[in-house]
Amino acid sequence: MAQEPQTQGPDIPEDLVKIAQDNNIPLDLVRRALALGFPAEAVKQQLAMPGVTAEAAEQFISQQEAMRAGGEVVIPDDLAEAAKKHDWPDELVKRGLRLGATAEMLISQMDAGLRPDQAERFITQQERLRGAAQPGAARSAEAGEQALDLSWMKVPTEWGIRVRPGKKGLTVGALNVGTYGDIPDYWPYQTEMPRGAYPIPGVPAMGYTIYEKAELWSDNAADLYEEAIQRRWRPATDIPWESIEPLPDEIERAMCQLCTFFCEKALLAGDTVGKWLPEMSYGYHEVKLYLATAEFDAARHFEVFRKRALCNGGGMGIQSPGYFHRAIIDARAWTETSAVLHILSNSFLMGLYQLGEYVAHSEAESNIFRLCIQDTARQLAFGLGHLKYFLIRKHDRREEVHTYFNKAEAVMVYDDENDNVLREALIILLGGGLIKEQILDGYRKLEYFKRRWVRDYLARLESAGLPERRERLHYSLKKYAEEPVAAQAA
Amino acid sequence: MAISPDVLEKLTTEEDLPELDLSWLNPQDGHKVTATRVRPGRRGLTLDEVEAGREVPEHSINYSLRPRDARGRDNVPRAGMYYPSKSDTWSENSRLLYEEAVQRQWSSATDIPWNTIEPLPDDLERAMCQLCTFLTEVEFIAGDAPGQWLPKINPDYYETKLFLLTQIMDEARHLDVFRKRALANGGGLLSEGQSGPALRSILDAKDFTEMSAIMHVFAEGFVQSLFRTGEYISQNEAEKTIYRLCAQDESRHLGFGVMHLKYVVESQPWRREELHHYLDQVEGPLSLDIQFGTSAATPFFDEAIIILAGGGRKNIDVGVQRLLAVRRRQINEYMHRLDVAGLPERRDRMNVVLKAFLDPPAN
Ligand SMILES: [Fe+2]
Ligand SMILES: [Fe+2]
Repeated sequence: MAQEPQTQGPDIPEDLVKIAQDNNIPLDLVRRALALGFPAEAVKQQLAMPGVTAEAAEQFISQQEAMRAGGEVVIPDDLAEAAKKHDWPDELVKRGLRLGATAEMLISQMDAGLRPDQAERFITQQERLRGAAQPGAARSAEAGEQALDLSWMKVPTEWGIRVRPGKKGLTVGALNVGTYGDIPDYWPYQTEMPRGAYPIPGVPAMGYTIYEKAELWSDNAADLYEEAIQRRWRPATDIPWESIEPLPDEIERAMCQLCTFFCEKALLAGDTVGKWLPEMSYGYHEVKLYLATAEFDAARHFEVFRKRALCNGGGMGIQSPGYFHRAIIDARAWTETSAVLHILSNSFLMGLYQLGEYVAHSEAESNIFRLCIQDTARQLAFGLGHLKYFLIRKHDRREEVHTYFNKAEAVMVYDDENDNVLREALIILLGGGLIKEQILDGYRKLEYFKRRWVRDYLARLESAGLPERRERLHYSLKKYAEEPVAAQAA
Repeated sequence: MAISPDVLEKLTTEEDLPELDLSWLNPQDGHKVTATRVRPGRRGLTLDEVEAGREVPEHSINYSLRPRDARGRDNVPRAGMYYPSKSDTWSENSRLLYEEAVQRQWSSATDIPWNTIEPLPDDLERAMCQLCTFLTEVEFIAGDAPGQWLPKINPDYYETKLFLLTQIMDEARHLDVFRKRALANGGGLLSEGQSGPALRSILDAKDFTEMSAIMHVFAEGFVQSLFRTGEYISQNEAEKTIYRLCAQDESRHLGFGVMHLKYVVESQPWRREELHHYLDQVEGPLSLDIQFGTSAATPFFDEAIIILAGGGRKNIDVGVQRLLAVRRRQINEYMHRLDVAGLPERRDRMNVVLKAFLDPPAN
């Protein structure tokens, strides 16, 4: 191809030259398009469209040049016909053409059912955006800028925040500076507006039910969130699965029974927290963030215990009686849910994880239990942090908290009394087998572990500001809280 | 080694022992320990490996938290009402997506090169902060919505539950990373976004598939296409990393939604028209929304993109073109996902305003 004649006009960016050449579009046409004020980016996109020919481009550019020169916009016959058929006024069609729409494109829009009133709004928006509201107006940068609303640039939120990463990186707690650190006791917005942004009118309510800080807050939520992320682990690859060796039948089955129990607990925690997340208004994002990590804990715990149950010839065991699940599912306030799930249920789980670590038959098992202890410790810390926050601000609701524990402890004891399978599995695991001495040993150790978890539970409640729970404890648990029966295990 | 019934008998009658039942250990109960042992593969011990050869039932009347394959007990109180059919919530790729999610978690505190952020001209910083305010807001909803569905998913289809739990984690990180970006460079949060009505439609869904089509396929698809044009809207390595990592997460959420839709289309073909109805609804209020009177549903968002993509408020021509390019990409990728899900006829049925951006089908 011969060298093209050099016409006067703007330089063509190199990448545009390449696209034009790839599509057999003469560079002169490209230059004319740029001279018309089409941004290089727009020209590039047009050229890259499938089916673009030099003839079509020439026709389009000539038409645009005629328009700029003050010439009347001519509506091609086929377009005029389609416009008539679909009741599009000529002036609207011309505005579309002036914006750079091709006749073909407009016809296909009409055929697709775009109504003239819809098109009008769309075209007005485009005209505004391009600063081309009046025909022939200068397409200067200023005109373009004026076409934008930009009111969002001037809203009175706090500006000038520059939080720098610290020793632990850029943490969510570190963002609580200036007004962004003001966490109100009542959150007044029913929308998803983030704390510290500027509200706009007209946004529909999202249907949250918790708007009071005391009903969900825990001071450690932001730190627990970052800690959970830093200490994340991967059951598939972080557990040395190959260290698991075949075990005697009763041991394998007992372990699988324990795993089945943990799987159920994980499903329960995932469903329960999931149900509460959409109830919590957005002003307290730290809590929602932390709870998201607790949800992820639930997934991993289900996963790791199912894998353990299925990987060594055992299989899933028998489901639990399920009564205690209901004490958690049925809770109707977040504080009740958190107290029962995070403190009572997790104190029991923590005891079982410790038991699991004690009886672990392989490096894999001891890692699993150790990592679950770590995750559950965060959940306990959140629950205790919340209870503490709640009790300090809600003196009149202390008795209500006891009511929740009264019910949950009672149901838990009932559940436990009905779960011979788990009890026997624990005895076998602790004793190491079915020989008489082993069973006796297992039984004694189980009593020790019961004392241990109940005492830990009471000590935790004391730290959260509920020391009198020791006296109010369910009578079946009380015997484990009594001082001190010589520990014979571990 | 099998357990001898004699031993069991002896253990349950000896006087000075705690009373044990041990019937659950009974070797005759058909639940015997087999020699099947599963070893970790190249990617560790994955769900696919432990589930190999195990059946997932087509229907389940489980109303308790009994995990799949566990033996039931009589008299268990019902824990909730769950979807009874596999088709209702299943996606063929959920195990894979779950494992990937666990492997590819990242930390917004330490995995983003925050020190690469340099002071920006005021208009760019404000546009970035407006975009971040918008994103931190929409990410919230993507965590709440899966949460509200968890108690309705049958424990027999636990894979879906596990996947949704990872999504809740992912979205928390997204919420948090955009808030961090807004407050890291001399800016702040700006105006609440204008997507409230659209986001409400995700919470309003009355069916899991409806929610998944609206949220995973439509809304998160649009966010994903935006993240994948991150080069238009990032000014430094930190921002590029944010979009890249978020896009990686979003592709899992989309992947779940697309494959769930496909599963429903294939296994419940009579629902095809119902699915189109959900998309008809969502393409209206979530689209440029010209049929509802305003020129665009989210001008704040559009303007922020125009300024970021144009490189400042003096270059809005370029910015507008790039915004339109983002829109074109969003809508073409949306159509492509529906093709994969088995709804190719959506091309003809799509809201005309979105359709205007569709490229001709690739043949
Ligand atoms: Fe997200
Ligand atoms: Fe997402």
